[in-house]
Amino acid sequence: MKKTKKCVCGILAACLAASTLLAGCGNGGGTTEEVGDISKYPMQTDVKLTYWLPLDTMTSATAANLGDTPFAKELLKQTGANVEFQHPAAGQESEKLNLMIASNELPDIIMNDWYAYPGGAQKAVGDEVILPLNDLMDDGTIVNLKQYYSENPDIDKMAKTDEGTYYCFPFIRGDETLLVSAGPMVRADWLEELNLSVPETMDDWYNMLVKFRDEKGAQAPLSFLLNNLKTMNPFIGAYGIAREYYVDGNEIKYGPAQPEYKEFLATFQKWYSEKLLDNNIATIDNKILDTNMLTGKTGASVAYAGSGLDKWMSATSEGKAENYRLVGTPYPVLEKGQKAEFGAYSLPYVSSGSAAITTACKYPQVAAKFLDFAYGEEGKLLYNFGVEGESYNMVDGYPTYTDKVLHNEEGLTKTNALMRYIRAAGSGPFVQDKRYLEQYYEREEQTQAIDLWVNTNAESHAVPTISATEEESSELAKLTNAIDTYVSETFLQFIMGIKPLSEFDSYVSELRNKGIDRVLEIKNAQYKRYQTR
Amino acid sequence: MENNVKGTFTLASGRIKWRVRNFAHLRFANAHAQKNLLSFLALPIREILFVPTQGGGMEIFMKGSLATAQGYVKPSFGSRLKADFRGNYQLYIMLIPVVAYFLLFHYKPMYGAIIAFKDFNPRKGVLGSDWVGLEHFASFITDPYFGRIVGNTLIISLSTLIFGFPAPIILALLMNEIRCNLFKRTVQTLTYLPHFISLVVICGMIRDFTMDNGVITVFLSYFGFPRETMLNKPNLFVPVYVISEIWQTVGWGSIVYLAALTGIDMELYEAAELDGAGRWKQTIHITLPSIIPTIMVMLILRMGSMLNVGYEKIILLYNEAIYSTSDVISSYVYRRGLLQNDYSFSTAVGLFNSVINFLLLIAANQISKRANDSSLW
Repeated sequence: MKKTKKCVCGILAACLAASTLLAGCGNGGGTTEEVGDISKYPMQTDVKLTYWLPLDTMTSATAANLGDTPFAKELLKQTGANVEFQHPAAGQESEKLNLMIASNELPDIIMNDWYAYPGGAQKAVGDEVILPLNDLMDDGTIVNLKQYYSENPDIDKMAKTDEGTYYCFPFIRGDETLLVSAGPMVRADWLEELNLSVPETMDDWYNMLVKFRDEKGAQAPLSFLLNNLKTMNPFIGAYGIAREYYVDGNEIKYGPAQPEYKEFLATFQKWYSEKLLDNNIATIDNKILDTNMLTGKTGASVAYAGSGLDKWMSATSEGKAENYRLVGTPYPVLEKGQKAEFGAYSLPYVSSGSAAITTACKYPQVAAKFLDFAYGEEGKLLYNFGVEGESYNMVDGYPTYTDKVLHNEEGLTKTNALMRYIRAAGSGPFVQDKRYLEQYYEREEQTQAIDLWVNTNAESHAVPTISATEEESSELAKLTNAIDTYVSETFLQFIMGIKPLSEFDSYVSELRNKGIDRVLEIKNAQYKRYQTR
Repeated sequence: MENNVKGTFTLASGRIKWRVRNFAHLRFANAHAQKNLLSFLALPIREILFVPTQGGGMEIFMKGSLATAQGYVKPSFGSRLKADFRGNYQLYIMLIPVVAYFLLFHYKPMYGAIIAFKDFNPRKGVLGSDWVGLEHFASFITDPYFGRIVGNTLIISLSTLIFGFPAPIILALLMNEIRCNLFKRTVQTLTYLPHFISLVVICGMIRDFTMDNGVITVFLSYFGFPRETMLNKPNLFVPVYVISEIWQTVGWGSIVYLAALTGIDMELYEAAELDGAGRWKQTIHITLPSIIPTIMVMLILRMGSMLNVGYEKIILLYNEAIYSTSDVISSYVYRRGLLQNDYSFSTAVGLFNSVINFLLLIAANQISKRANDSSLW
């Protein structure tokens, strides 16, 4: 089936290419008459663009095509561009993308995680899938993004390849509060009843969990999805290491290969054997965690402010447990007064949601101008707040969402209603505004929690978007898969007591056997290249 | 018919199946046979027919004749095909879509398997990507976990075969003995049911039931089993997997055996009863031997998927604590493929599996052919 399609696509692409060639004969690839006046918005142009992007479920809940949303209509009006949006079926994004690339039938603009392109973004440029943007940045077509980069050199560094090629219009989180959305949280009503204060150190946590177990009858006082340990580094961060790769000074290190890892394992092993840590931690999923949190089996967790704290509090406020309340806690440390080294942290430049102009685009200037709009003042407002007078009003210079999106009359959820007007709840080629999130979190507990979770040194330990060369990536693929398997497995064996901690040294040497030193060597070489960008 | 048409032939009265227009060059094994055939030559040619037999020979029939001469004729494949086509061209026309389907959708895509020997790059396409030889195979075989994942795959596969394969046969035999139709249908429907539930739901149920406070764990704890989450225990993964697999597939799998059971001649049972055989003896000496060919075919087909333990059920059930017994080839490759978009590597492993499965299938077929004459081909 796939192959036949590919075949048909190939023929179509050939026809297209032929007609493009014929059409292109007369004008040499886009003259001023065809392009029109694109020096200011709205552009005066007849050029039609195609824009391929996966449609998130928050938007597809209300519109089959992005073009049907008030957001897109306003965007096209303000930019003056003619854009046809194309969406792959949900779940087939990467398959469709590969097919498009293989059959050479490319739209003008593609939104994708170009960092994940086999061989990296530089390879995508080298393979002539997407256009380098350097020329367009130099000749004054891309103005707003260029200015943003000059004001934010850190992001400038992340958004280009090792060779200095700009390749995309990136998704940028525009404020540090947008980079942290998760952390540890506990039952505030239990703390009150037991006369405890919000825990700060690992010892506080231990005492609190013991009381949860003994006095509140919690069968699994602390429970969370194991994956959150990798992405947020709670508890393990107290020992000065991360569960994955992290930057320490000028070097990339791997937490589970550090001696501190043993201390962390000892603590968790103790918590596990005393049934303070959920003994089903290896098997629980979201659904089971929800049940445990809501029925009082669990009193502390590590989760997101939205899909954790808010969800659980909403679920209980509708029911009987009126005093059910969760509060965020700071990331635990060893000594009182320390600032946590690690926490949930996402880089301001996330490689996903980046729009790139393809080599098939006949009028790259128009496409560039259309995408560059998002990084200007009007663009930022539109992408983050939507249409003035409809989805937001300016109140004392603060764009305030209207009830139309926050409390939709037609019964749409807040996210679904918002995503008809804005993009900020998802991702895409624009700068996310912190004023979006300030209004998105409705609970005081959420904003308080974020304030606590932001207070870490996680930024200095985050591994930036380093990129691998082709040879490196195939070697890494092989080594890291075996290492990940080994570490995930032994982590549970250690804390469950299946493997005694006295075997920690043989564990480390086995990690060496599996090539952790080589992985770190490659990663550090990549990091050096990144630093000299 | 050409000169290569030789041998003896059978003559019997019967149906017209295959018209022969020219048998002037027929050679006969003996004069008797020739004489019999020649005596029919007086008749119009279309009245004499040749019917290919299973062994590759041919029977010759005469319409309305009472002749009973014995003989054997073996024409060439080409001429048999030609003649068969002439007689049954409608059937051949009906066959075209099926052949086209297999060529287009099963054989043509196979060329994509060459990416197992290439460094596949979507931009360059299947044919344009660079050759890397056996690199991906070497990478798979030298992986530190190669031994463990192949071992786990075989253990899970073999246990499912040993315990799971006889289960539907036993169920079918038991159901065959039930005389109350209402009860029989109810049991059948109930045992089919799990087959129609989505695998995700099935695995969710299994995980819930085997948790430390799950139905099954609590029930078993009355018999002295520890009340611990079963899927945290490496040694319990295979039993949980196999038992749930049996529960899932036993009803559906029994259908083919029930169908085979209906084909048994009732006279055999009557005769056995007259000889004084009870229910048990009838099952052993009539029912089982009658469905042996079906069992063998199912077993051979099963051998062809020995290395394919589906990753879906594994990744829905396993967790990091029990990798040591639950990580199989497909789940390991899934983790690597998903993380790195490593298409070539996944294809190489897929091809590796297919080749081994293919060899196992051929071996099983040969053994079965030698041992009891029932085989796929």
